[in-house]
Amino acid sequence: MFSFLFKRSVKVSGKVASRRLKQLLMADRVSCPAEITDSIYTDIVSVLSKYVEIDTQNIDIKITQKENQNRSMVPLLTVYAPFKEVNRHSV
Amino acid sequence: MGEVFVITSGKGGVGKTTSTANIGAGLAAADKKTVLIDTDIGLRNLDVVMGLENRIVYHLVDIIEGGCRIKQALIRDRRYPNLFLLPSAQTRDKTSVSPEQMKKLIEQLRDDFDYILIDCPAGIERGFYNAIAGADRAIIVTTPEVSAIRDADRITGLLEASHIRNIHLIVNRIRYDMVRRGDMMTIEDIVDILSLDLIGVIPDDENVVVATNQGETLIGSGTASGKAYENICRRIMGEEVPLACYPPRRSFFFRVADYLVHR
Repeated sequence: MFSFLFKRSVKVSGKVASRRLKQLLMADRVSCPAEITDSIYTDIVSVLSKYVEIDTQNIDIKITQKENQNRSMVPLLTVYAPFKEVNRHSV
Repeated sequence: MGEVFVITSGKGGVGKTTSTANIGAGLAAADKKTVLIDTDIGLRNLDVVMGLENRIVYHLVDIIEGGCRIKQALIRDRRYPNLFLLPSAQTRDKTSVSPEQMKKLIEQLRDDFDYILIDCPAGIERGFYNAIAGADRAIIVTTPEVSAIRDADRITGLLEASHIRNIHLIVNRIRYDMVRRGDMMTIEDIVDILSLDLIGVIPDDENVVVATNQGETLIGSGTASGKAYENICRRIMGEEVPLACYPPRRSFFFRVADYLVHR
């Protein structure tokens, strides 16, 4: 009966759009053309693979934003690279 | 010496051509000698929106190729004696014209007009670069939708890279009822995301379709969109016109009623 009180929070697609756009435009603006992000991806995987066995199925590389000391936003490259094992022969 | 605006967006169908026609008519109605240039070669539309499709003899590509003089291609609008259209070619493509040629053409027109409005095609290829070649200023048209705003942002980057820094934004087809319900982005959000100076907000208005059907503009029509376009013209001419307030937030009673009706 009071479900309308909770439903209200779902109906803010306008704010969802704003949030999505801010993230998206940030990535677009850092003007990393696809070839560069692909090269970054390949090089990172190959460097890390020298030392650890990367789970390439679950690796996630993205460009986000972070607030720095001057309270301005700076682009940030984030790499999540789950790995299985350290490569013994590289040591 | 005329001011040259390019009206662009990136995304297609957001209202560049409609805005070019209406802003042109508004400036002409205010006694400013204005020429509108359709640079969408192969897909011309400015002529149709203005109701001048039956008066085309020569076009932009004819001038560039030396097949006619500029004056022969310009069509004077009978309703607005200060308004001229330079139509595009329908059976050619965008490689028929180069940015350098466009720049030269604009320089030749500058002395004869107070305002030159260039209607830019959608996209970011040759057509875009042809359209921006001679421009001093840009007006970016967007709608309150994610894809349009994303494209508007890209276009801003490309304009700045081509040294056009005087850029203003028109938000077209805003629906205040949807904004109130939270189903559409607010003007504040859009301006914040794009970081552009707003020059106008145009409500979604059925009268736009009606006007285009008849080859008319909305200037002087008394409609919401007509008034919005007139205000844009006044701002272009240097007047400080405050942006219309959002329709006031309705009382709790009406918001509940609204919710129950739209749930």
